[in-house]
Amino acid sequence: MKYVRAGFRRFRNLFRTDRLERDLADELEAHLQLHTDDNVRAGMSPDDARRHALLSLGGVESVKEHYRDRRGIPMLEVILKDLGFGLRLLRKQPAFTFGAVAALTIGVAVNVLVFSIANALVIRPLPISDPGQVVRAYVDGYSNTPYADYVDYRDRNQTLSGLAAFANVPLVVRRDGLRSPYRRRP
Amino acid sequence: MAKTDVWQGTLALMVLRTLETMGPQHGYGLARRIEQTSGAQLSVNYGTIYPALLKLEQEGYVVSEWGASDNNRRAKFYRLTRSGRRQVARIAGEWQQTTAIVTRFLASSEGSS
Repeated sequence: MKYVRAGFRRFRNLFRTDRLERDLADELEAHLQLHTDDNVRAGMSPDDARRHALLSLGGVESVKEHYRDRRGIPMLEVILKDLGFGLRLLRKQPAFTFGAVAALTIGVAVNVLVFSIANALVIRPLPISDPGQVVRAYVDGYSNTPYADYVDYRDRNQTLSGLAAFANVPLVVRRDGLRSPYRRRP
Repeated sequence: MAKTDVWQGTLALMVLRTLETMGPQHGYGLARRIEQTSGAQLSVNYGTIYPALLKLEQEGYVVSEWGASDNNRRAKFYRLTRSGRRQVARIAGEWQQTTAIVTRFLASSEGSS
């Protein structure tokens, strides 16, 4: 549970850096002053006292770095900094940015287009909820039905929810002026 | 890497225990006192105490507030919370148990060789 609490605090700390930085600087300065006072009281000169206090602390920036690592979420902060840096770079080079954005837009648009077509034609299933209810209707054995009749059947019947029709068209495919042996049957 | 983890855990325990016996204290005072009590193990780097204090505060074992030190300097004081007290008792118990087990183990193996 303490990890959850710590995690919340660290996430929240991402948004309060200014104040926390000031607090940290104040706290470390206070530490140095206290230590310097003690050293002076022990007989050191003020300069030596201060220098000794700084050495004992281990380097103010180093302490601050370790403190910052614990305070925030370093990985996230690094990523955010990189993002900000990248954005600034892009703003400085508008021609490149325009080209890159245009290329990406075209790429995405083409992909969406191709996929939509493929999806509609190939991937998406037919809007039939229950295949068991699909029937094939004939008028006269397997003979053809006139189109006008089909329209009437479709619109006026009361048994079927919908009616579709299709036609077979045998095709001969020619190639290079020769009569091709291949015959396309739909 | 493991050595740093053990050290940080030990430091956290020492901070909590020092706050328990000394009462509210600022970072410098804690570092000084721990140095005295632990026999100069911490004299190298007082700075390590601040990340440790931050961790303890984030975990809810201590709270901090600004106050005045003995020589009237402004300093950030740390104080044990109730869950901090429970934590000291718990870890102290674990340490004593571990020490007892290891001591007994080491003592017994001397006889067999």
